[in-house]
Amino acid sequence: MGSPQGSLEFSARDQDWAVLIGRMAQGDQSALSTLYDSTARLVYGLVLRIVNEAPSAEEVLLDVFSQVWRQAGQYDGKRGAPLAWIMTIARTRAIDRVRSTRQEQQRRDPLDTVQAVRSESADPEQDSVISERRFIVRQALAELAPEQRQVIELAYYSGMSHSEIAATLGQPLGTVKTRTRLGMMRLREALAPVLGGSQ
Amino acid sequence: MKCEKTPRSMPWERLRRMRPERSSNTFWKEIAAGIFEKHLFTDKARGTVTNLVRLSPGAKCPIHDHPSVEECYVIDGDFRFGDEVFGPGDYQCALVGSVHGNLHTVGGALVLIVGPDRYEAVHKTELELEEQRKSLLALESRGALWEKVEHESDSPGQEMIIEDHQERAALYALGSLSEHEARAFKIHLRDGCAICSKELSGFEAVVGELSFGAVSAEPPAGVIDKLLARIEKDSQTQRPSISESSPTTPNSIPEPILKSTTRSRSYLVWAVAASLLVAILAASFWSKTNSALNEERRRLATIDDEVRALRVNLTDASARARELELIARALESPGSSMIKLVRGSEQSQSKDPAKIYWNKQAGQWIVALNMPPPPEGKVYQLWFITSAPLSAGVLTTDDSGRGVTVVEVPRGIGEIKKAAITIEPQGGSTSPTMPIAASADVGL
Repeated sequence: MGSPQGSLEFSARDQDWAVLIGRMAQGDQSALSTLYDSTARLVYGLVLRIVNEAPSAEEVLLDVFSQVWRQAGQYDGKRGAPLAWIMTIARTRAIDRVRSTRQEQQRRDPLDTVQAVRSESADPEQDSVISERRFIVRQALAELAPEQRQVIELAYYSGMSHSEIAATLGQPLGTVKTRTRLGMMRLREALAPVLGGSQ
Repeated sequence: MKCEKTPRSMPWERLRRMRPERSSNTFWKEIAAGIFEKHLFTDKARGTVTNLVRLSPGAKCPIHDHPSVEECYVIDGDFRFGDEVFGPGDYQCALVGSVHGNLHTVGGALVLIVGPDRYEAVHKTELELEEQRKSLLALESRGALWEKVEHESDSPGQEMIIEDHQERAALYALGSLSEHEARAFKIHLRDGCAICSKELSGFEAVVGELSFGAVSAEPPAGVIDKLLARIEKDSQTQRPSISESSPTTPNSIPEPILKSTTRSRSYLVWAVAASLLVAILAASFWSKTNSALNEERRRLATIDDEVRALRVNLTDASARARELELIARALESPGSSMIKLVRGSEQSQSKDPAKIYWNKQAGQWIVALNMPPPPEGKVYQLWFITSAPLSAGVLTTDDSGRGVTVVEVPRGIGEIKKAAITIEPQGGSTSPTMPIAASADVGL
């Protein structure tokens, strides 16, 4: 993992996806089906982890791919890899959902959400490239100090603002901000081989 | 630097008199030529600091911009924004992203500032700035403008500024800045901060990568069919003219016409095409106006939020001015001292959870608290530790754990060795419940 070979493979895969998005922009629905087949598990996994509720997750999944379809024409390869683009849409939509429901119903302790890690063996990911990327990210997260990992995971999966995180953890705001910054810097270092050119 | 002004208002006169020899005064710090700052309070929860700032006659403030709201209350003297003069009792609030140049005084001024704990400060006087502006103009063409500004300000605070940039970029990438802060950061990026945009692109890549961290899950079957159905529906509603203006199949319309003259046929085709075009344009115009309206509504809603927040700030500020007067009076009294309490627990990183300003003449402790809010149903209680702990009473705090309480020090209490704060049930206790939340040696 993290080998130059791996990186090359990522970009080749991303190129395939970029071609699909280009075809979608021309109105090719079969391209959407193909893209869905190869990325839906990953998208759904992330969405489910964030919204934590299957019926909502399904709706969000539909929203995500509808948006990808609608905005295919606006996708700009220079600004990021296609999969990263799709996943950003996925996270944004999922967090929008969580935020709107958070106001209506008292959500269960978000810390449970963070700790509710599904078992590795149940991972239905069929794409070896994605599995490998997951392995690298998880390893990078595991190497963080637990309190750094905690604030980053809370921010990433719950969409809470730093002051909400501080309140949830009963920590001073400054501490939360510092932990986030240090954690993100370590992640950036650890992921540098995968992130490629940007660093 | 002397602030030679005739006294104007009685309470503040005390503040002005409190001016011991500068060299021996550890409280005032010179932050720029002729500008002295006395730090009074840091509100960690809000990320703001309260400072008294004294400007010598003729002093000019360095140019700075505002990463968050800054409130300014003129206590004495004249404080000028360009041609506008602010006098004692005047209040001014600088909004996020505003840039302040040409802030100065003629006869000297004493102002109370409540603002962000860090500035995007370019600590330059106007003259230096003018020189810099010239060289920057030359650099601008080479696109090196911001890099130069950032790297030139190699003041001792530079590391801190870079850390601050990194912090905001990291929080922004994760989406955990408040709406207000995120907007200020966007403005800052748009203004061309090279450090921030570089940090941000790195952090955004990390956030992108984090999406792989969640375990994949098998989506319910049939989602793809729903998806394709929705797309089909969307594409039709986007072109309502096709389904609505021609209920029959498009081919069936021209058929009978074909048998009459080719002229009228082509006229009709054009008429149909034109009406289609009008319908399509109308639909697209409607959707654009609609989204613009929504955008406007959203914008108004955020402005409302901001106005509300500013109102709260205003009431806070006047309450704080009262607290500060107490503190200033304590500091002014002969033999006064300040005691900094430190956390009892492991959280050594949070500085100054509480400060006690000891007004020895009045026999008062002014206790400024800046701790996390106490747990539900609990309060902070202060103890004088002599030979045994003696309750000094419950400390009031607001929701953010901030508050100023005046505590009478009993006459003849003897030597107070320590001051300690504990967490107690509502109403306080007769003896302290361990552990100690914060404490300090008092000494003499």
